[in-house]
Amino acid sequence: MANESPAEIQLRLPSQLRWLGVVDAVVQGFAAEFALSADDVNNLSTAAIEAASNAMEHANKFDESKHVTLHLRGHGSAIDIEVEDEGPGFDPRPYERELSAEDLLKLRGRGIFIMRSFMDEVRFTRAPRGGMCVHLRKVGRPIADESGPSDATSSN
Amino acid sequence: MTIRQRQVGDVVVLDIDGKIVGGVDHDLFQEKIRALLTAGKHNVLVNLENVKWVNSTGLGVLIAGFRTVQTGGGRLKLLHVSERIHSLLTITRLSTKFEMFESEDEATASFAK
Repeated sequence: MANESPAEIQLRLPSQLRWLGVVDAVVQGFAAEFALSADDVNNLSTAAIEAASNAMEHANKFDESKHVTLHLRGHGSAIDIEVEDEGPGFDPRPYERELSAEDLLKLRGRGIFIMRSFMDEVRFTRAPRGGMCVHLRKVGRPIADESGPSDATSSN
Repeated sequence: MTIRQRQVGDVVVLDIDGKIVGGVDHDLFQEKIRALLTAGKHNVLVNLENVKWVNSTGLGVLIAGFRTVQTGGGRLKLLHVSERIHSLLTITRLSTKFEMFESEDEATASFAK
């Protein structure tokens, strides 16, 4: 059952790709408490993994002394995730575009496009401690009730 | 990521297990693909049944393998792609490049065409 109460958790990870599975597990588990469809939850998790991957590799350069911090906030059918790195910051604008037809088999350059495709909102800001912060927002579509007409009475 | 290899007729099936997230995965996959081509095995079917998700760098690992096989005169196709990975391949339009199958029999037979 969807949770209408706001909730917030924080996850701090070393800058190594092997921890991306933890991002998936935490986002999936957190999002399951709110009114999002399975597709929305998967898309949210994919976007969070993408942001965390970029933070680990491009911002923190896999430096074990640097961390990637995820703040997850949920309320009703909306979930916000902030992914903060400890890198020098960057300009995301050159990486926003979808790859052209002739570049379709390029090995890289899809991360930000994927985030934008799956999220309702993606913003990049400077983090308070100097790195970058990627803000991801997903608002769940109404989930179809597959149980048929609901009974007017219910117990609490 | 781990890779197990098996032969089905003229096709090599690579059963992938775990996450594909780049880094060492790229090197592991490329080594395997190059070894197959060197051994004269040009029909490669990558079974993703036990891969729940990939990131964009993981897509790059599959693309690198696809390109290497293509350059070597072979074909690389995908089997049992999860809905989650399929949606990634669709939005990135890579679904227009990769042939995907839900049946191993159909996939292996497709290499004969």
